[in-house]
Amino acid sequence: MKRWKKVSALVMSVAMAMSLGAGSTVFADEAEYDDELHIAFSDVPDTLDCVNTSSDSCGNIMVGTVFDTLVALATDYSVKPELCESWEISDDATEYTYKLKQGVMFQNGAEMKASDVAASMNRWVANFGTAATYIGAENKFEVVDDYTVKIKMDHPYLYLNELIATAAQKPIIVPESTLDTIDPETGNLTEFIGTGPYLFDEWAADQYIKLTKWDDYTPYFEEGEEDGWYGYKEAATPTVYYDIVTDDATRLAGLQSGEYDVALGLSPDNYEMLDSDDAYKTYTELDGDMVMIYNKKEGVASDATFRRAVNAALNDDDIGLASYGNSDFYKINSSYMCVEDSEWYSTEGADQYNQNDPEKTKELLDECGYDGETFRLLVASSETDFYNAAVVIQQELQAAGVNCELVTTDWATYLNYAADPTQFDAFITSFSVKQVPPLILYLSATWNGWATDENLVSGFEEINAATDKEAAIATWNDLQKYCWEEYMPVSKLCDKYVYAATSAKVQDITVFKSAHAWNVKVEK
Amino acid sequence: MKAVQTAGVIPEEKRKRMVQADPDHLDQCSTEEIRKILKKEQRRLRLQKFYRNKLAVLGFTILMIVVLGAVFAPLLTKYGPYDMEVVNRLKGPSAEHIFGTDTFGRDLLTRILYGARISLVIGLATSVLALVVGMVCGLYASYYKPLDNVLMRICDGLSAVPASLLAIAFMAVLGASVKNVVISMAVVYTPSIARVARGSALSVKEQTYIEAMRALGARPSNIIWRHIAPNVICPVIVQASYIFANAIITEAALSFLGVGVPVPTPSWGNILYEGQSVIYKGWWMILFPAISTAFSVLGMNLFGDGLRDVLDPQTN
Amino acid sequence: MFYDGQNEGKGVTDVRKYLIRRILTLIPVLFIVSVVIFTLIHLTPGDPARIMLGAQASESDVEALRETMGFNKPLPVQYFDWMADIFHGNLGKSVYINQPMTEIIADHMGPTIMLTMYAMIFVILVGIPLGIIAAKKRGTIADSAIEGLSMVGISIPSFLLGLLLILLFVVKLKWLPVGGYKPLKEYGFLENLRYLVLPAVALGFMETGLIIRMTRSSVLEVLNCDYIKMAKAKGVKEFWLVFKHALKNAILPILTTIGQTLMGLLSGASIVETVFNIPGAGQLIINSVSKRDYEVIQADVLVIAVINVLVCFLIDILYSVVDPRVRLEK
Repeated sequence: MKRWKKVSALVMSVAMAMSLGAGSTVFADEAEYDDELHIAFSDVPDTLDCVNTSSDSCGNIMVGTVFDTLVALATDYSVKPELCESWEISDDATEYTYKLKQGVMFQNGAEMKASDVAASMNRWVANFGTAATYIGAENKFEVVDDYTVKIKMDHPYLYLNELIATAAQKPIIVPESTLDTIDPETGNLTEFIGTGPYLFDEWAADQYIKLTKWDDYTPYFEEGEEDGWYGYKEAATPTVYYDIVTDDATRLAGLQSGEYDVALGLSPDNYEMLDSDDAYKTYTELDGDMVMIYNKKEGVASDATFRRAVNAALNDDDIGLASYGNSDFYKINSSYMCVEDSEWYSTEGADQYNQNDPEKTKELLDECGYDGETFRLLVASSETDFYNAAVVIQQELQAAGVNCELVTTDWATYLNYAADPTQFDAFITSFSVKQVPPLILYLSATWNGWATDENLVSGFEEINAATDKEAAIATWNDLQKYCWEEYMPVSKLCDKYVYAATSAKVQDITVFKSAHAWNVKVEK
Repeated sequence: MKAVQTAGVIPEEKRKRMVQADPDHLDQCSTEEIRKILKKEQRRLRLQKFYRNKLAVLGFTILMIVVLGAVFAPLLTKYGPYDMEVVNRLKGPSAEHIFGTDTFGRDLLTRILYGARISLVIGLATSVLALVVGMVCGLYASYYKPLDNVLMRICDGLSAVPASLLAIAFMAVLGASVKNVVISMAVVYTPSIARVARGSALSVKEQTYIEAMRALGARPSNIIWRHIAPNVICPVIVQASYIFANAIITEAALSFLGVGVPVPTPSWGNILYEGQSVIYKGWWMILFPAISTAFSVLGMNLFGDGLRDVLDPQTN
Repeated sequence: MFYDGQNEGKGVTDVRKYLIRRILTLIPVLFIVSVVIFTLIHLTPGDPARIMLGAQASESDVEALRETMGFNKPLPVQYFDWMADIFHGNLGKSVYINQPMTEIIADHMGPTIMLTMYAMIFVILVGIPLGIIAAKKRGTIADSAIEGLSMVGISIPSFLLGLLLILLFVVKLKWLPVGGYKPLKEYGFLENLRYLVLPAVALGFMETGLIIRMTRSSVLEVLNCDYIKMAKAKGVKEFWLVFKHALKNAILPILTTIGQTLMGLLSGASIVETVFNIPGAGQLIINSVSKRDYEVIQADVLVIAVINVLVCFLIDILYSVVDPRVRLEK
């Protein structure tokens, strides 16, 4: 990291010297805006190497600012070319060819070439289990020429671009040379060199992550051509601080006192207050869905009839309200694919959702011979919304005759327990919006909850291998119906919404899957 | 310090009391009857002293109000502590809900009354557990030199580790439950009791009659429990009364750190913590539990002070 | 005036002997601390590989990373490895923070030490005078008011007080920053204080309540002694009486309380640091526990334990300086 600081200092001083002549007029314009942008957030990333963590905060901070990806997601959830100019998919959906943009520079001064992209993408496939599963670990990205990469898979896979654009572990493109500096103990990058408008400057543990403007950056889109993660980006504010503020009340107070320009992860209970005040702007967006995932491998919930019994007792209006406080922040929606405009959206099995029918629960319990066994509902105590949902669910289940016990643990313990079939019967968590059904993690056979049902597994295989989208959508509709009516791998609880609040002085902020620093200006 | 006081002239009344308190002199009077009478008289004087201490009586009254409120909670409110009406969440005080409702639409008064049960039980259980374990450690440490080294070093070690971390770690190992909150807090508070007990026990142990008993071959456990312990119990009880109050506040801090009494069981600590997150919207969620906590902690401290005045012959 | 002078001839050798003995007793204490912490931390479920990869990671990735990180050794072996490292002056390595351990600890200790110091100053400057006033004006309204204040102090959890202070001084009045930390070296005393004044008050408030009560009762006890009464009768000015004589004699219990206060502050710091977002040693512990960054927890706790033990040690020595009658080997 130290070495990188030196390099960046050198780069910056050279850049400063070069821009001195043209500088004066530019500076006069910029004087109306603040030099610093402070974004307060709570979810501290554990590493800034986005390939190696599935926590959202890393990608939200580093992607689009320091790093870029091959393709990016627009606000309508379509995939657009970011570092590539275009792509081609073979008719049988086994071969993808990407034409790269020319003249894209890395922050170390080298031009981005196909070898860098191939090396970065292959590292991603190797380190990200989901990608390895869908793409096949043995299938590699290959260099065709300096500005073309391709991958040939031994099976058809129609959703590679969707996977790249929405992966929890982000496929950031870094110079091939920085892969030599990986820390052998953790497998993480030690130098953060990307193609974005900001340089990684400093990570002061427990305080902030600081990004500074890369003066040599030339945008590779036209101004105005921007949509979500995709498109034109510049470092409009020279220095960006991501302030790590773990206590919710403190984050809000700091926004009110003017120390933070943007605050993330605020409680919906404070939304009305901020929204009605002209000193602030708020941005609400769909964040994904909250789901109760059953343990289908072991214990009382391994019986599908029991799972349907539990599901019948749920009153999702109450659960949503207790978790998100305000009807603007949750939506009753039975479709596993949340976005209504999406072609995958489905109302199959909707009558099984939000039943609020304790009598039916009792009948189903009798049917499966339930004998008062404890139903352990696991939840992390740090996640207030899931925690609140669990409290309501426990009440509803107890009223319907299920002996429900809450298991509340800290985050680290929760992670271990949720991966261990002996520790829980169900747990609550949420997932970001997905583009295609096979990316829905909670329906996966290998992930926590273990939805190993044959119909589900073969259905997903069919969808993944389909080259005809209509047929895939039909299969998906059947699958959703089967899940709600018979298999019941999870009880979807509700869609959730989150908001970012900024001071009214903050302009041009992109809020799409969190608030982003590029293009943001803060009036003085 | 004691030397300073004996240097002066001792008032008659005080001297008399000192005579009564000191078994050495009683042994000289030596009939069982006198001993009984004196004990009775002593108790009467103590009670009198306690009643004369208005603050102590006030503290006791406060404590009784809280205890009665907790015990008769079902009679004082028509709601159950877990009855939810989520649509009525965070409604301010009204005729229906005198203290308003919480984030789940539960009646806050009910939560506070039932929370008093948990908080009082936690305070009481923690202090009793710490008292028993601490006293055993302190007494045996004072009596057996090698044990002293081991036990006191363990106490030093435990108190050198930040209490919050000890509690977090214990809760993480044991799992979240009321019982485990008590255990982890008792671990934190035991060293202070052990130290007080050991200090008092050491000074008692050096008195001639104890030495005489040892010389005569009395059983150590007999000496420890029948002769040293009664002299140690007073300062230890006073210390434990402060722990009682302190434990209630500490439980709130543990809730803040996410390792307190797990929901949905109400405790003042987790009600306060819940209130902290909605402070802009529901002031009643902070005000009422805070007042209840402050009120009872006040009561316990006043009571503790009174207890100290009564049990400690040094103060007047 | 009332020192009997018997111990004045106590030799330097005694002091040295005492010092050596005390330092030797540190070793078992720290050994116990290390065992307790190591066992507790490693008994808690959770592992860094899973945390780093996040909630949505696949099991195979977690297995692979855990293998790389080397957490598959048996516990006693890990403990002795750690001990051996410490004796070689190596405190270990953080899984998440890319800095040498000594730097991590030093960086996080700075804010905590400053915060604790300010809080301590607040406690002493407010607590002791109020305690003396309460004792002198015993039974008056002033006494009751101070008693009431100390009771409030004892019964408000620091996270709540911190939030209330923020609402008043930061949100409403906009006088002070909401949180964070500016190092003394780079930003100067005033800026440093500006960031720490609210946390220091929030942290010190409870201990102030305790000190007020302690001071009040100690001073009262001494004021009731016959020699003070005599001095009063002789016409010694009340002010002098309290400050020179009474306080001098009350200082021992107060000193004890201050020692305990300091340990209480260090322990309470983690909560206040979280509320005010101060990157201190307390927050480091909490964050490292939640991330299971074992070696950081161990090193941090060990350092805090050493500080605690040294403070006790120092207090004992101060005892003998303030009052030569106290024999060190007690």
